[in-house]
Amino acid sequence: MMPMSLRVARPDPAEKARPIIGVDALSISLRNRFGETRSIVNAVDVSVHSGEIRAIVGESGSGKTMLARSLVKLLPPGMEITDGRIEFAGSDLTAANETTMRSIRGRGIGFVFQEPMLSLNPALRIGDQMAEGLRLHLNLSKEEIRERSLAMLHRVRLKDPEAALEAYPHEFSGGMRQRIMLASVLMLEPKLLIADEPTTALDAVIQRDVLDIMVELTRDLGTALLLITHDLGLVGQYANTVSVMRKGEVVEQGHVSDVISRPREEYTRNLLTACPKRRPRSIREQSTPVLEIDKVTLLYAGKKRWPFSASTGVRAVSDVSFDVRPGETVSVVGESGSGKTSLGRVILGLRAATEGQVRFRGKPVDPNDRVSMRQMRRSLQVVFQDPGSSLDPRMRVKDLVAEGLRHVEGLDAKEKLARVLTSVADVGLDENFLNRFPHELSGGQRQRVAIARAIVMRPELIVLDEPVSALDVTIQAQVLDLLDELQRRYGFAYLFVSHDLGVVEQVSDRVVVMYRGRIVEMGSRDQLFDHPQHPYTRRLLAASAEIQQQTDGSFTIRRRSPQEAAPPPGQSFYDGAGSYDLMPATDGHLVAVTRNEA
Amino acid sequence: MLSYSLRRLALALPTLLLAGILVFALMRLVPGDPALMFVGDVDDPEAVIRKRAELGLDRSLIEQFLLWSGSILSGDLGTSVKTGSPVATEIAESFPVTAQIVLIATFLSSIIAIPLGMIAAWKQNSSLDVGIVGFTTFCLSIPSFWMAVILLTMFGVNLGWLPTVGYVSMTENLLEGALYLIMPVTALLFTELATLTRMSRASTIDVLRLDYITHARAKGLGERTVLWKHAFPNAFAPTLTVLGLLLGHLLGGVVVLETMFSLPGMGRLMIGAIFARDYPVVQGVLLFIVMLYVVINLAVDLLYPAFDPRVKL
Repeated sequence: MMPMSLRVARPDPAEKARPIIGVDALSISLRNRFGETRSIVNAVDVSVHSGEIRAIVGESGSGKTMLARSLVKLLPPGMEITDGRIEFAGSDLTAANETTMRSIRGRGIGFVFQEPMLSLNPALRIGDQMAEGLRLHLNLSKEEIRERSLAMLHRVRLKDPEAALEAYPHEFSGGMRQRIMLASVLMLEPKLLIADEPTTALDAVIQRDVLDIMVELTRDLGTALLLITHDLGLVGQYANTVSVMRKGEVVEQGHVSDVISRPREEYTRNLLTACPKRRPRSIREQSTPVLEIDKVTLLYAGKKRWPFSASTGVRAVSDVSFDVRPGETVSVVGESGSGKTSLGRVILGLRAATEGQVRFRGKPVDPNDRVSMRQMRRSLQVVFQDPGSSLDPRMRVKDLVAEGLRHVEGLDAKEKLARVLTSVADVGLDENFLNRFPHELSGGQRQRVAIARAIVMRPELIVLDEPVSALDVTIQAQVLDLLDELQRRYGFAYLFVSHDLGVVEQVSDRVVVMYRGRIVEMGSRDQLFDHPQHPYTRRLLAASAEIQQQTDGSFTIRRRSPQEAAPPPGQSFYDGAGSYDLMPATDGHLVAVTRNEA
Repeated sequence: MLSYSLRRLALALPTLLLAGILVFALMRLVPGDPALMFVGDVDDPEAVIRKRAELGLDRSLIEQFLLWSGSILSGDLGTSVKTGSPVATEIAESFPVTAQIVLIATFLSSIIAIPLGMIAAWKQNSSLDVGIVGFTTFCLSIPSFWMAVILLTMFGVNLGWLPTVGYVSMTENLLEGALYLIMPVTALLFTELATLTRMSRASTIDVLRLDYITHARAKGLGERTVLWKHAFPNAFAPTLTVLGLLLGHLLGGVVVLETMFSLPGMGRLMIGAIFARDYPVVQGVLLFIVMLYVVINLAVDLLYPAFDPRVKL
């Protein structure tokens, strides 16, 4: 066991030294237009010392983002600091005016936001956006600004920094944009960097790259880091100290090793136990598959410039085959662009496969055959990622759940109502929820309604498309438990599409790993997590932390470090080019390889 | 960009054909006979028949349509039944009058309304915001003919500062021409102000909520830079679309204002032609308006990438 070994070693921040930023009994309230106030942050003490990485961890509504924003006094309208002190570099920021704050923002305290797709201005060139801060805070010539920008883009390992300066944000992927953000913020060498969920919107592998760069740069520049996150895995891997927030208050804080391995507070322990963990799965006997995916290829036609001109297509899914048996959970994992969502659309009959066939209960899924599609959809249900947009805001819970039953023959109104009531009870909601609208529900409750809507049909297979990635970790754990319980009670088969390996490890019987439209590895959950073969699978695993509870009740967080595997003789692992074969590594464990040229 | 423009113009051809058929058919559905209108209240059936033959109205509708579209393809919009002058000349004389008023009014209202909307958005829910929105709503509620009457009585009749009736081309006499334009432009400006301010305010509010605005502030930038450099280019694009539609709509003729101020613009040309059942003029003007819409919307779309680099043509 190597607990937290990869966390960057730093000199232990001297407790006696003056902190870079010290927050003392800070309270923030939200005032609505009728003058009523609601407390958002309540008497919080937090400090960050030079060279320290402090994480603030909490679920949505904990006030962590507002606390972070209050440090640069950029609270949204209606929010105000009502009490307390923020001391930065010896001066009290709560008393500072706008002009002082402006000179501190960017130069003294840098800020990186969660959504790299939204935090760079789409209308301005990267070079302009980077130069802006330098021009404002430092007295530099045009050439110096350009040189510094290039050097910084180089340090965040961006390919071709020269071209990047002239480019617009939309020309970069999310991970690249977040690196650009880091470069432009850290270029001013602030004393403190506040990163608000900086990688939550990114894929696991990219998330790790960005965080590694961030930690490396802040260490080199001597910048203290305040990392706002909901992800305990990140805290365990990167932070020195942690403050756990709940409902506007800090419930526990201290060194990461103390707080995580021996949490004193009930809430911290709940957060840790809620993190997904491997659980024993009962092995099912081989039976006839409910879903067969047979050499499916999906080609998206490109845009045509002129009528009749040839279009260039994009191969979203290539030659994918696997099946799902009754009562089991098969997960499809991969980063964005891996084709997992496109495959899901083919399975649901929302798109016709360009080649190959999907068979549900032995019958081909054909989007053009409306009669059989209608029958099939009763037994093939789906739960989407974002319950906020997958539930019609104008329908009540009971109507949302009952809607699918309209087309079920042989059920009278009374029986239908009974079914709705059972399903709503099955997902753990009581009758008071029946007449509510989606906006009156929390995120977790909405997802429960979405699940009730799927199970009311008593389907054989439910496609779960990232069903818990929009939810807080404690809610996520409840929803995963619910899904597990429903599966045991009704015997549904689940096709679980996700990028979160922790969740996949907890729920799956078998796992399919996709990369650029192809399967690179598939096998049982234990085969894949214990003996990953393909380098891509290993990269995915290495990017996700593993949280374990020891027998003595303490917790450890570690990076997975899967062992390297050798490809079969005369072959190498398939890497997106060359021939493609799925070869058995062990029984039922397949890995993609390329035959080496003789 | 050139290939895109050509493609767009090529796509306008079916639009023009459809508009042509529609205009042609609609005109003939309206009761009334141009020949009868021309000859007048004289009880001379022979003269009417002669006139009909002269105008080609005795042929079948299909033949009439083919003749008309054939001459349009050769660049001839036909001749006015009422005045006998070519339709192209009539348009060339009246369009500049309308265009002058509309372009000046739209330009002025844009440079007033867009910053006004942005400031209202920036100070959302403050008394300044309420004031600006209230003022523009007030402007919108004033009918343009009433505005025209008030202006005419105040500045034309009571004060005698401005000429009330007529029109002098600015190309002939710049100062005098400008004097004739002040009142129509003012009346039009007030109606446009409200639409543009509200559009600009709404899109600025949307943009100001986004992360990159907070990020710009977190860099330490001042509010003016945040507003003009970061918010404006992103907030302007939707306003530009509305501006294009507004312009197309107004350039087709501002009938009420042209009538109130006795200006020989496109709106009056059109109304006159409709009453006289002057088929060639109505058809010609309508085709010209359709073309105008196509060109303005193309211009707006070509301008789009300047404000939003994500848009690819």
